[in-house]
Formats: sequence, C-alpha cells, structure tokens
Amino acid sequence: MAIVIPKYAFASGQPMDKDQINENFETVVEEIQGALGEHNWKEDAFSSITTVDEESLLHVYKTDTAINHGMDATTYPTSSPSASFKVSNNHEWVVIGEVDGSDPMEITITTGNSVLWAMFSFQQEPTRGGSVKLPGCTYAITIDGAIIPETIIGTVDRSNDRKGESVAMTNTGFTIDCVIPVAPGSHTIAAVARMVSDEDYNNFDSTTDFYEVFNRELIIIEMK
Amino acid sequence: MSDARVRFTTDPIILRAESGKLIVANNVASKIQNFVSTSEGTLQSVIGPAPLVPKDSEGDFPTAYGTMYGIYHTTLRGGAVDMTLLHSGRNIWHYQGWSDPDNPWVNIVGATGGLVTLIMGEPETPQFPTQFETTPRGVVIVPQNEMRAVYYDGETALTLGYDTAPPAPIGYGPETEVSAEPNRIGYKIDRVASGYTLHQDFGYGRLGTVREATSAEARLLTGSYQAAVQWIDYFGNLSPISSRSNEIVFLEQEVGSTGKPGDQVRKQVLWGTIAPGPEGTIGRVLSRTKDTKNSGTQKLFIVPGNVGEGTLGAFATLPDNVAQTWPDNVPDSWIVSEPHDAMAVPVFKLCRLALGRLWIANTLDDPGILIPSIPGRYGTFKTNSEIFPDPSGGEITGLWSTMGGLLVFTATSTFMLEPSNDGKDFRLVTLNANVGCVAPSSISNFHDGSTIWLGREGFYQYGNGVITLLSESIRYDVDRINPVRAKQACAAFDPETKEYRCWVALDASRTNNFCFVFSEEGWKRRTKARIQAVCVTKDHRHYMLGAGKVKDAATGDEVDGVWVLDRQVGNFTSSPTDYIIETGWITWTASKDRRSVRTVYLAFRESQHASATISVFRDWRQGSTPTYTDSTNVLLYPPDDEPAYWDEAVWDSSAAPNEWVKRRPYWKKVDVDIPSCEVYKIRIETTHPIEFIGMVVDEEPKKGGFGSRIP
Repeated sequence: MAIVIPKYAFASGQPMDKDQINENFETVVEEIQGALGEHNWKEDAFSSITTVDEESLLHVYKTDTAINHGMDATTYPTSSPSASFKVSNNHEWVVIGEVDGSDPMEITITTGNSVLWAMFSFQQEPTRGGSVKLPGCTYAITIDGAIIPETIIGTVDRSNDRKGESVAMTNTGFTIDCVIPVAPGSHTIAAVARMVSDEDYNNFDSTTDFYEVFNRELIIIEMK
Repeated sequence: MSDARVRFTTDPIILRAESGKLIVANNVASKIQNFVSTSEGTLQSVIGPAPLVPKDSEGDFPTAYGTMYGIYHTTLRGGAVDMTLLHSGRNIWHYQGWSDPDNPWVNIVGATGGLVTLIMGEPETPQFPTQFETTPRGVVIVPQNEMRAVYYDGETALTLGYDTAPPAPIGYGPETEVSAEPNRIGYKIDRVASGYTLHQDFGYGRLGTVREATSAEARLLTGSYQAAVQWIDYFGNLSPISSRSNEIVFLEQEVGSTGKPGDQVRKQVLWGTIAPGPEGTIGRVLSRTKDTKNSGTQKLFIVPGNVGEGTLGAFATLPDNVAQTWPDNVPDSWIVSEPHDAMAVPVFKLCRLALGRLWIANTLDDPGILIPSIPGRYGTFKTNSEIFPDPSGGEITGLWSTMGGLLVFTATSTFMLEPSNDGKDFRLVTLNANVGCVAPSSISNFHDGSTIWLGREGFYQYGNGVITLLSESIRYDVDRINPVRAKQACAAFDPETKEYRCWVALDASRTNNFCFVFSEEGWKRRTKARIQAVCVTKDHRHYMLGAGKVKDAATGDEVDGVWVLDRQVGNFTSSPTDYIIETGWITWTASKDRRSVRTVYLAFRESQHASATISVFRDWRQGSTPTYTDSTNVLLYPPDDEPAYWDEAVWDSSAAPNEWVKRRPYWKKVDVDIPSCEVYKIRIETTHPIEFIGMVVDEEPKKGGFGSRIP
C-alpha cells in the first residue's frame, strides 16, 4: 500500500461536506483493499513475530530419504542398502528415488511470482565388479523437467575434458543448488542423476557395476 | 438608492481563465490566483500543500534539505518497487517512507555514504533540473553539474555504463625458435611430438587451420589470432571494446607421418591480463578473431563461456570480475556472434526513453548530439550511431517521447524523430525551424495527448502534427519570465484537475516563484510555493510532488521540503495565501458611455465562517486605494442558512444544521456604488478557503441628456 495523504484537513469554521469527508475516507479505504507494504509500518511496529504468518516471506519444502549403509571409520558402506537408489546405466537422466520409483526426490509446489532456492545434498557410492573402470556419474536439479545447467556436476564438455565431465569418487557427499525465479503457477523441482559413458562407450552390467545414491535431501525455499 | 427601473443586470460573469490583455471579454479575468477548477465546474481555492515527510513529535522536520535540483517518482516491477527520488544539495536520495521517522531518505548518490560516489557541487547558476527517466529495469538519473548519469533499480545504483575501455588482454601461444621446429616453445598446448603437452584426458587443441589432403601431408597452416575484452555490468551494459591484444602466430607445421589426424597440431591459446572492471562489473566478454590469415575476416567474435550451456547462452565469457586468464580452446566454427561496438558513455544532460531505446543528448563535448542506446541495454551506446538534429549543431534543450516518436528540441527549432520506413533506422523531420524549447523539464503531456512546453516566446502545444503558441493571451506575464533562469522551469500535468502547471522564475527571481497553470478553460496562476522541481507519482495516487520552499504558518519562515501539492495534513499549515479573482475592465466596448455600478451579486459555495474582501477599481486606475472596498460583508457562508461546521456539528444527526450534506451555493449581494465610471474592475481577495461560482452586476447607465460625456 502506498503512502496516502487525504486531501482535506478540516478545521474549525469550515462547513461539513459529505463529499469531502467521503473523499478523504475513500483514498484510505481503496488502498487498504489492496495490500499493505513495508512503507505502512513504523520501525519495530511488530513487537512479536507470533502475529506474522511464518510463511509470509519464506516457505520451506523438503523431502529426504535416510539410508543405513553401515559405514563408519573402519567399515565400508554396504552395497545396495535398503532405500538406496541405483543410478541407471543407460546414460540418461532419471529422477532420483527409491528403486521402485516411490519416494522420489521431487517436490511439486504452487508458487506466486517467487524466487526458488533449490538445494540437493546426497551421498554417492559406486559398486564395481572386479577391475571394472566405471565412468563418472553426474547430477543436476531440474525445474519443470528442464535441467538447470549450472547445477550439473562436471563440465559437460566431454570432448575437451573427458574425466571432468563427471565425478567417479567413492564415499562422497555433494551439494548442488540454484536460485531461480519462477512464474506464478505449479512447479516441479526434482533431483536427477545420470551415469556418463566411458571413452569407448562400453556397456556395464547393472547388477555388478553401478552408482548408488544413499542419504539424500531436497530442500526448496520459496522466497516470496 | 436609484430607481430599479433604470438598472440593468449584466450577463453572468463566469470567470474561469485569465488574460493579460487590456481588452477582454467580461468572462475572462485579469487574474485568477491560487484556484483550481473543480469537477463540478466551480473555482476552488488551492489547498495544502502537505509535507511528504511529516514533522516529528517535537514539531520539527527531520530532514534538512539543500538546494533542490530534482524530484521524481516511478514504480518498477509492476509496482513492487515504489521509488521517490530527490536531488537535494550534494546528494540524491531515495524516500524510504515513514518506517524510520528520523531517516526517511536514504543516500544513493553523494560524496560519502551513498551507493555511488559522485562529488557533486551545489551550484546556484541557472541549469536544467536533474533529469530522470524510467526504463523497464531501473531509473536513469542525470545530474546537471557535469556529473555522470546514474542507473538505479531500487537496490543497486551504478554510474550508467562505462566511460572507459578495458586494457587489451595479452595473448600467449606457441613460439618458434630460430633453427628449431616451429611452434615448439611458449604456450604450445597441442598433442605433437614427445608425449602430450595436453593431458591425455583432454582432447585436442581446436585453434588453427589444418590442411589435410592426406594424413601424411596434413599440416597446420600459418595463422594468427587476436583478442579483445569488454566489461559487462550488473545492468547488462557493455564497456567499449578494448584495443586488440598482441597477435598470436602459428607457423606452418607438419603433422608428420604419425598416422594421427591433423587435429593433433591444433593449439590451445591463453589470454592473460584480462583486467577486472570497475565496481558493478559482473563479467567480461572476451572476443577473438578467427584465424586472420585463413578465415578471410579480421572481425572480432564473442567467445562463448562454455559449451555446456549453449554457445551463446551465457551473459559473458568470464562470468566474474576476478579471473585474469582464459585458456581458449574454442574453435573458429563456434564463434559466430559479433560483439556490440559500444562507445564510452559521455557526460550528458538530457535523456528520454523512446522507440525501445534510451536517447541521450547534449553531451559535454557536443551539445547538439543525440545518441541512441542499444535496445534493452540503456547504458550501452553503439559507436557511430550519433545524430545531430540541428545541422548547425545547436544545443539540444529538450527530449520528449510522444505519439509516433521522439520530439527533439533546440532553443529555436523542433524536430520529430521517427522510425524509418523499413523500421531499421530513424529519420528526423523538422516540425518547426523557428520554434524551440528552452526548458527540458517544462515539457509535459496534456490530457488530450498533446505536448506543452516553454519556448522563447511562451508556451507551445504540439498536437495533430501542428505546433501552436498557447500563451498569447498571457503574454504580458510570460514576458516577465527571467530568460536567464528559463532553463530551470519545471512542469507537470495534474491528472486530477487536468491542469498543466509550470513553475518559472519571474522578473529578477533566482528561484521558480510563479506558476502558470493551463487547462481546457485557459490560463490561471499559482503563487503558493516556490517549486524547483516537480513530478506526478506514476501510480494510482497521481500526487503532484514539488521540491522547493513553502512558508510555514507556525514559524513564518520559508522551509525547504518535498511537498504534496493539493493535499492537507493536520500537523502542518502553510502560511495563508492570497486567493484572488480579478475581473478584466468591464466593459471597454461600452466605455464611451458612462454608467454607475450599483450592486455586485457574488455566487459562492459556502466554504468558511469568514469573509472575503471585495475591491472595485474604476477607469483604468488600479491604485493602492480602491474606489470601493469592503472586507466584512462578503461572507463566505450564507448567513440566513448556515451550515454545520467542523468542531460544532453532531455526529449522526438528521436535524438541521447538523445533518451532513453537500455544501450549498448561495448569492451574496454587495452594494458598491461606483458612480459614473467608464470601466470598472472587481477584485475578490481572501486568505480563507473560498469557492467561486460567478457574479452579476447591476449597472445604471448614464444616457445622453443625463450628463454623460466623453472627456
């Protein structure tokens, strides 16, 4: 709501006029029918934020999956613990979830004209059969199915940086995030993964050679 | 008392506009001072103004203002950003509302403490008011004291664009020793000979032209590369392109009989000493030639930042302002887009958004120059795009966006800049080679879509392709405008009253002490405030904000401030103002026959439990002592049917006089008794609120035989 200054300041000796009185009130009432903004409140006008809707500025959404992979200082993690997610070996982007597709790292929200801060943190663990040399795996955040390029781990430039295209680390935790404005409406934010190809485009046995995502959490903060 | 049978009553005198002419119709006043026309067709005394920043609890204004140079209001992002900007003293301020009563203004430009550091003076010499213009992303602020323009979006402020080019980068590539194989020292990133100079996990180099008839004859041809760099700032504005770097030369080089493809002799190069830009720079655009000896072009092309996001998608090659080196392995085939050849942004005085571009004019070096920005980049101006509307290079004194194009003014001529027929360029049409504009801030649109401004001879109006002189009827007063100070005139159109108001310095005044008011009905005047800069809020409120001086009734002193015109508040009262309505000399056409003026009937609308003063002058003599004066009988209320008054009326009562109704009109009769005059003039004056409808006068003619004569 903009600052409103009524038109008339009445004083003694002035005749009453219902039009002038109404004109003064109307300017204020019409404004209040709109919305109140920061201009309308004195500093420290709110002595307690209990009177303010928690979601008036930020709205937090999250989904997570906890994995008990058994790793500690002396023990390697278990391969394929319950609820871990095996990244497909077909080199295409897939939404991270449980093996059966349930509990995906995917959140659908309805927003205003907002800015979203999407954060995805996770653990990566490869499983290899014998001396197989696995290529790397890469991850990204998508909004409405579109990959946000700057969230992709790696250079994506296969021809110029073959190993830099992705990461092939074991027992590694990552966090990727992005801040992106969205238009009003429904939006789906998801975390996706893809195993890249090696130099010779070999096929890998998905029962013995694969990447898995263990503990994972997708957090969305809608900044209104 | 004379016999009523020999009297006659004039036609109603409905004064709504004034004229400085000696001979005017009875319905034209010689002065209407501090009145506005109401929607109901009456003349109502001007109210207010109210201070935008109210007095504090101790009755003091929290802000000490300096000399007022400019005020502006706009909204951005669909109203999400509400911006009131003020250039006062040596600072430009952003109004923050009443949230912090002690600091309602935030410094955005100044010598210290602002978002942008500009050491501005506080000159009192005549100058244009500070110019402002809204673009889709922010506001361009143009101080007049030879300072660079500033761009501000409500959060970030930067000087507009760049006034310097970056230094040239330095190129590093392979070198060749005498009596040695070519390209074997220096920055020789390729895959030739012993081992890899590129790690095996990296691919081949991509620069260089290879002739590859057969693999055995494959060879790198002699070639060369140069690069240049541009800064890009937070608002997307580009600096001039730097000078070109040194030349990186590849000498001809055979692949040899390795059985490997010719690609192995291609190189990577490195561009170093890529200078970070000044504050506000968020990236650098690196441009590079293709192989100048083999590609057939010497042009620069933008080097894409990476290949993952699309070759042209990123805003800059180096999306930061830190890195100073750039390993370049982008082949010639990937560079396709030419950089914008931007000029250094000059210091300028005027700007206006029109035809999708920001037009700047009247630079320090070329007062007659007009330069368009690149569309969407309002601080980036293409080299060699300048226009000189006046063939003689006359100083540009005004720019205004209007239907169909951009009005461009010099002091003595007016041009229209329009899109050319093919839509790719612009053309200038001379609208008038003798009429110009002297004050850029006097230009404003009128409610019918026409444009009004102050020229040397008075106020002009442009509409329907025609320029007309609007102020001939008030030339007597217009000629009093101080020509030296005319350039500081400021004007705005009030959508509420549909009035064009222009404040000027009259006579020897150094400040704008007089306001010419034009509406459909004609001209009026205001004297209530000394306004140096004015604007109308670009939101639904349509408040007219004026920066200047108003006399405080509480202290009797003139105080600087930002004023909401035509609004009143309880905690500030301006000193009483003279509301004056003065008829012309009635009636010249009948003045060869004398008549006596007996009675004036004034039609008012009740407005105050007080009285006004009526004065009557006769026979062209308007001295300090009127022929008749009365300050007690011209009541501003009907004594026989008094209304309910503030502080007396009872709430929710339907019994007269407490019922709240609209104020009523009434007649007030004044017997003035001016005997045997040629012409007479009636003046109504008060400092109380007043609403005037009209008047009629009872005259008694002096017929021949009753002693009338021509002196």
